[in-house]
Amino acid sequence: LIGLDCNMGFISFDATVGSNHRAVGHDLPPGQDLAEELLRRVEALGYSIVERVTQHEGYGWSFTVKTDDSQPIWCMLQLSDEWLLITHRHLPLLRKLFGAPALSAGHAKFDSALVGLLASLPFVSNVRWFRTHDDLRHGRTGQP
Amino acid sequence: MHAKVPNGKAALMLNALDPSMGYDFWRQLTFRTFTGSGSVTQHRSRSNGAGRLWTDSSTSSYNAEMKHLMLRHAFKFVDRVVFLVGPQNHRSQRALEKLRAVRVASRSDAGGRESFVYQIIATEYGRRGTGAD
Repeated sequence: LIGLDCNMGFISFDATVGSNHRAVGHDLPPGQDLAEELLRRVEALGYSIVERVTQHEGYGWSFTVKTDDSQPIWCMLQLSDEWLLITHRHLPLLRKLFGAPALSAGHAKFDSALVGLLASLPFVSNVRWFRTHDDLRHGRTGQP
Repeated sequence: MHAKVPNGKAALMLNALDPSMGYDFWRQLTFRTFTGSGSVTQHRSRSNGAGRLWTDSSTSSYNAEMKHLMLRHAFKFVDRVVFLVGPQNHRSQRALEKLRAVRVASRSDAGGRESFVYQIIATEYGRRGTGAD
């Protein structure tokens, strides 16, 4: 798994909205309204939108914003046992394998802003950030 | 090569090996569920007796039981079933862990698409039961 998640951040949280927002008669994953609400608030923080909310495969909703260092960050929201927002900055494979053990400063700042944003929302609780897949699986929280 | 079946039904089909897949499989068993939620595909390998099972991320109430039915059927032919799941698809990863699948590796396909490899061994599956919650 070397390098696989070096350019990702993982934010889990509980929310009292979103999980019932399914379009009647369609097999859409939950979370579209929640993703759009998050994107609106991210935009209000000053981040520019690269791509608005679109469905990601059969299980999530994604959007892309540009961070302070002009790097696009792809965000994908999905509902498992709790809500999970993955932030992902694309890196070339060689950079992932050999040169990027940590999040970029812009990515870390963006994740930190997201954690703060989510924690401030009245319908969101239990916001936690994880550095890697394994940290997420084992509940080892961190700070961006 | 999939037969057309009505919505809400499940079908089992037996296909010949598709050489374009690039695997050393001499036979391919294909399940396709027409529940509006996706498909599951299983292969049997001549070389190591392993099965491969692809599934979608549906979490409908009948989906877990459908997976158990498919697993039980697959284990009539193979000793091991392997699931490939996208690293970002925690929804499916959690569903697989509830089926007691174990993550054993990661891999990339020819297009560079990364997957986590989950596995269920027939003997362990039988010993543990279905693992249904």
